[in-house]
Amino acid sequence: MGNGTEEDYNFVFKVVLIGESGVGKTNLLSRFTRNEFSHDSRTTIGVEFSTRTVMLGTAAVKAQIWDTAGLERYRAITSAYYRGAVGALLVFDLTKHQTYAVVERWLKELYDHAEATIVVMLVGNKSDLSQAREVPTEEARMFAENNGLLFLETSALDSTNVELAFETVLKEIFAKVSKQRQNSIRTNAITLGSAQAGQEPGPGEKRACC
Amino acid sequence: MALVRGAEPAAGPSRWLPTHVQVTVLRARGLRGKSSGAGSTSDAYTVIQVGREKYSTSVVEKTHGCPEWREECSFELPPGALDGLLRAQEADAGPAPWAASSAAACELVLTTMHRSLIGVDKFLGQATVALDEVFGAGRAQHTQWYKLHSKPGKKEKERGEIEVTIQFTRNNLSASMFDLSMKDKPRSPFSKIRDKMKGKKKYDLESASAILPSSAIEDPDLGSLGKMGKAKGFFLRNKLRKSSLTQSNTSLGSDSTLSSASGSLAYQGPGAELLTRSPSRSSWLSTEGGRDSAQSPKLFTHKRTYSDEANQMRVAPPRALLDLQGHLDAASRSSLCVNGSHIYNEEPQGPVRHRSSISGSLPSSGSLQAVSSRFSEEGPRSTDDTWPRGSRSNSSSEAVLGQEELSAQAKVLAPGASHPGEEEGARLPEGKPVQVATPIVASSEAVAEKEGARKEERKPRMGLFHHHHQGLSRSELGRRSSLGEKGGPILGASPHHSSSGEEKAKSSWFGLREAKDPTQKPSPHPVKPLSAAPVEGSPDRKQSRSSLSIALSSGLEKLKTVTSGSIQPVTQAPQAGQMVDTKRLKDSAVLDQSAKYYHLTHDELISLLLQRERELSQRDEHVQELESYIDRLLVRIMETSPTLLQIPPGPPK
Repeated sequence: MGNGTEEDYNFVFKVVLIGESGVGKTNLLSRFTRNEFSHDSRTTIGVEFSTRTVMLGTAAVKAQIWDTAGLERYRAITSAYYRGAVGALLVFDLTKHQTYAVVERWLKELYDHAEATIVVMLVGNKSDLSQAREVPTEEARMFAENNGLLFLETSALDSTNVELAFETVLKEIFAKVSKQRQNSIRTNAITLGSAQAGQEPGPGEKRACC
Repeated sequence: MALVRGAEPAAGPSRWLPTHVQVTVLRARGLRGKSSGAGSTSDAYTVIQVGREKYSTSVVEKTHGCPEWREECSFELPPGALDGLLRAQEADAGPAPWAASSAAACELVLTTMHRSLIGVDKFLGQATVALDEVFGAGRAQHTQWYKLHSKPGKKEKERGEIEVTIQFTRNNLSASMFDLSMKDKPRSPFSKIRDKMKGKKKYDLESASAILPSSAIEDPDLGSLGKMGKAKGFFLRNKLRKSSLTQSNTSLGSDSTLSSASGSLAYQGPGAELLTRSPSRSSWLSTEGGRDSAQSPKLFTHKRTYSDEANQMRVAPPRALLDLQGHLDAASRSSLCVNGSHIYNEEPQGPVRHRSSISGSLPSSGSLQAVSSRFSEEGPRSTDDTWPRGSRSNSSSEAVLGQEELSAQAKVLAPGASHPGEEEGARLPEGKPVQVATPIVASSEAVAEKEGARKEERKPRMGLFHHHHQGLSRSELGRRSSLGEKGGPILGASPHHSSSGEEKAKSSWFGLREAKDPTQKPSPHPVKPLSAAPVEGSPDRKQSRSSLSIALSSGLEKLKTVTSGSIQPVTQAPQAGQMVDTKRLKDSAVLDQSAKYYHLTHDELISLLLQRERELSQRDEHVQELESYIDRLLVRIMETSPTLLQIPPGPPK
């Protein structure tokens, strides 16, 4: 799974990061896309995304990962944020049970705004702080299974499972797309600009309308 | 208990005597609705009274019969109550036949009222708690619901109940933290002075006279004496209502009185006479002031005691001023400036003299100088006016501070440093350059120079206040404000007070006002010494005003430092000339930050807090608006050109 060049990709998958404030969404993103980690604990303001292209088999998949503040309040950006997303990482902080307790609320919001076919992974972040763990792995795993979610525990700090988490999600998305598209492996790009507005539901179904 | 008793063998085991009782009004329920209009809500507050001391909670607005205050106050137990408690205790051990007779002396009376925007506040209910009975039940904290009754003699109806926590305490523990701190530092140094002063004090008379002059002074500066009456009257009303204001006023008054007493007893008499003689304004003021002074002591014992200390400290400066006039007291000089202005004003000396003395010795006198000039012009009135002037200038400066705390400090500092030459020049012409040596004075002088500018500024300000004071001329408004702020000039801390006091006075009708007026908001807060001082050297009037107030505060600070070096280590560092003064000012400003709150009464602190909360909530709203705006922008970006949101690939770290 090497990094492809920015221009050279077959698919663009929009993946959103969601979860409570302070669970480490932004650091997961920076770890995955830039291999950076910041101890600066400032909360994210606004919305931004970062991309990284990975090779899934023969296909170059550009992951476009969106990040925003994990605020409870309703935001005008909510629907735009989820629109067109084919994957989501629902992150909680395994050292703070409260962030896990509200996962269901996040799931609801996700399904309210995103496609039903979206690939969702439950991510227990901060696994490096095992001594402060408040959420048992099995409990989270059970919850994920019961809700049809993927599950991993990660650490953006020491990089544990960060790549794996994203790639797993991308693979899942890719598998779904491939299944739907069957043999058509031509450039199906979910491009942000043009595709976004007229995007059809379903992961990977969006073609760049060039 | 055992420990306590052991510590006081003399009293014996059953003789633990509380000196204070701390009353926390938690909440009420089942209150009757009084507001006309929607539902049966009321704007409820509770007056807590023990003996002659009274406190009032804040007003919980639009409560549906169940306001929650959670506000506490502490009462010094009156001597009579003490006996009652003692007997009650003894009663525990054995029958005390005389216990019942003294019970009336220590009743806690809780009167819940509805604040009416118009007209008299409405009675919601009253509960009377016999403190000796409570104490008889043990020293532990008592929290209990008390049924609210109708006024005695009136038909009893369901009025709900009020939950109160009563805790008996001993010593000053119940008093504010400041009290304790004060004891350690400023008190000791000033205590001597205090004592001396006290010997000379004639509280009632003096305070009254003192108050009057301050109010009067303001007017002269503006030049519209006739207006003063109105303004004063306005303030007085406010004062009457708000105890805190009265306090500050009284403190000022006492200071002035003290100074006057010590320095020029003879003058006081005449001054008072003049005040009374002078048209309604002065008389008003005098009478009002007298009331305030009389009331204030009763209302807030603890704080009052505390404030007294402050006053004493303040007093000390005036005294020093006096001394300076006669002889130069190095230590007292700085202090002199602050109070000095008042003192001088009070003094019966000819107007010309006042000028010189003021300019020379008093920092606050900067304004005074101008005043003094007018003084001479005015002639007989001048005596009365002089006071008001001094106060006015102070008050105005204070008001300015409120608006521009930071800038004010900076300005203050700046004037001291930047205008030394000017100041000196001013002094010389006045003919009393000798005493001027203190930097504070210089700053004040600079301020005085800027007075003309100030006046202009004042007008705009007044405009701000116009809403409150309809029909009053700007100058009047300014005077009013100054009146409200009388307390300010004396102490470094006091200026803040006074400013807050002003706000309250303005807003006294309803506590709400303070929050609404942008200008007023800042005033309650103490000056922010550090940041502002160096940055802003602009010669704005506001600055000058602030500088005055700062100078005053700094003067107080200096006094403290002089008397007790321990208080402000920073100031101790010896520096030459005005530089030292400016630094001191800065230091004092820092100290002022906490000092401003020293004199605040419980009510004042609460109102300040409420104001802050209001401001915060307003800010929150603003933040939310901004957030939603940003969100909307983001949505547009996401829908049109989302690539703008891509995190730019920065250089690898």
